[in-house]
Amino acid sequence: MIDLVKALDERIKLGWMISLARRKLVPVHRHSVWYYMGALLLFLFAIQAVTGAMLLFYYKPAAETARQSIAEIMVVVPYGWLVRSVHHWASNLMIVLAFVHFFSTLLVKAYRRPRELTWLTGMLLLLLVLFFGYSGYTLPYDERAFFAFNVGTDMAGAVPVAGTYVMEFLRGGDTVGTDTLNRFFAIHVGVLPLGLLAVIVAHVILVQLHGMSVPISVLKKAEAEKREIPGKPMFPHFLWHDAVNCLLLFGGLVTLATLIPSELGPEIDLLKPAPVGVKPDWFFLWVYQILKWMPTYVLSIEGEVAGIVGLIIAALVILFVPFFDRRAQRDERSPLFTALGWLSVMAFVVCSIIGYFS
Amino acid sequence: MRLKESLLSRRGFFTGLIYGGLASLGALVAYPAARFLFHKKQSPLPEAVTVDRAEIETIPPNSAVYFQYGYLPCILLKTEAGELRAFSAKCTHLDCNVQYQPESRKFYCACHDGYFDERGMNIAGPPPSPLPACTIRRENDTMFISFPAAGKEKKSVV
Repeated sequence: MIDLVKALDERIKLGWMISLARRKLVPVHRHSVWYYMGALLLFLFAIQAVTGAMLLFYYKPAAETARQSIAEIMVVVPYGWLVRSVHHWASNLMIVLAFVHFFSTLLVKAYRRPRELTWLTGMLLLLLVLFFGYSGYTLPYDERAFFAFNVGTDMAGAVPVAGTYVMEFLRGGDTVGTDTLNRFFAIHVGVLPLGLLAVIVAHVILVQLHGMSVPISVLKKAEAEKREIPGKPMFPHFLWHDAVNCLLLFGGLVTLATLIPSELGPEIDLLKPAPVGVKPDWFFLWVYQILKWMPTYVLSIEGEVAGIVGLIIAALVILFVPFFDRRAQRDERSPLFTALGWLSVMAFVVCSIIGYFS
Repeated sequence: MRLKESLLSRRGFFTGLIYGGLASLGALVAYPAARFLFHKKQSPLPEAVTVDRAEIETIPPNSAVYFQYGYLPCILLKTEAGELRAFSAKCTHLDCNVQYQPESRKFYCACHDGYFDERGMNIAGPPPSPLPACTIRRENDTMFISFPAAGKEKKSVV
């Protein structure tokens, strides 16, 4: 064991990395709990990569075979139900944790100088994770997938100027069909994993470069009390916490997958009406609800277009919040942006809940 | 800390507990993963395939035609004397499909220059065993071609 460590040290400078990790201090304060989200998300990404690759062994991405191949995974292949359900639940948990990570960094204003790029890459990751979730639930090509395809690509079509091109690009034709499925398959297993991995690498390197951000309130308090903010070494203390968190998450994940396995909807019937109460997955319920509230016309613009443009503007404001929030940039309290942050959390939660029960 | 009678220290006990726990967890993950990945689709061979006499009459003497026996490619030879013989077309060396060469009256495998005679015996090159032969039974105007082992056991006949 000792020889192995020594041999690795000679070849990959293991000791140097460990001593770097030992020297890296993670600040300890009452908001430290939010520092755990990143490692959990990385862990879930690894689970998705492994279970996704496993599902590829049996999934057949064509309109005629997709649903049947998933049915076979669920009932014929040993433990297929478990692999698919873990993939399903890990994707849901990944989106939950991505939102928690996003809202917590927004509220503690971790986007302050010099972490603007970390924030931008993080926002890109959130977007990629959402698109991952969406493209994933179209792949079974069942009834729900079919309506998700139609509504999703149609919404992309409502985006001004580029909309039609985006819609045709995503559909691979005039209507939703096997070409659409193949495109989403390519995006889900080829484009998005590579993209996500590249952005994750950038994001993690940036986090390592700048260290953990400390909330303004904690900085102010330490300043007032004239004391240093205590820190714990990254290695082994924080990694140990991360490992325990991942283990607990894994336990919860397998429990969910076992007790509530993922479902497979009925086959697509092109001539059947959309089922009553058809809704998107939970992470798009807020968008669904906001679009439902839109009147037919807003100032002579089509309601759907107005809603989508509004959502895009809101997203852009959040995306560029590091550049708007000047007070936070100077490490001063900025109650306006705190209020806006809470408003966005409330809007997300409330619209999702109303969307669920409506 | 170690009690006088104890075989191991408290630290040793807990280290063992953690490693043991991790090893069990690894096994619990690896077992379903392995069962999932090594799943094999069962595709049993049919008990027999049938060919019409009329079809056989279209085959010239000293030539062979391919036919499908379940998932297995097979070859049906009509000898110069008009006798019918059927074999698995997969070379016993590395599973390439063999071809019949009328001029030398041999089955030839182009992958590694293997030769079988008209009775399917391996006579030259690397093939280690003869081509598995089918039995041919005639009932009125229909030929029943079958492998002796097909349809009875799960084991592959070739």
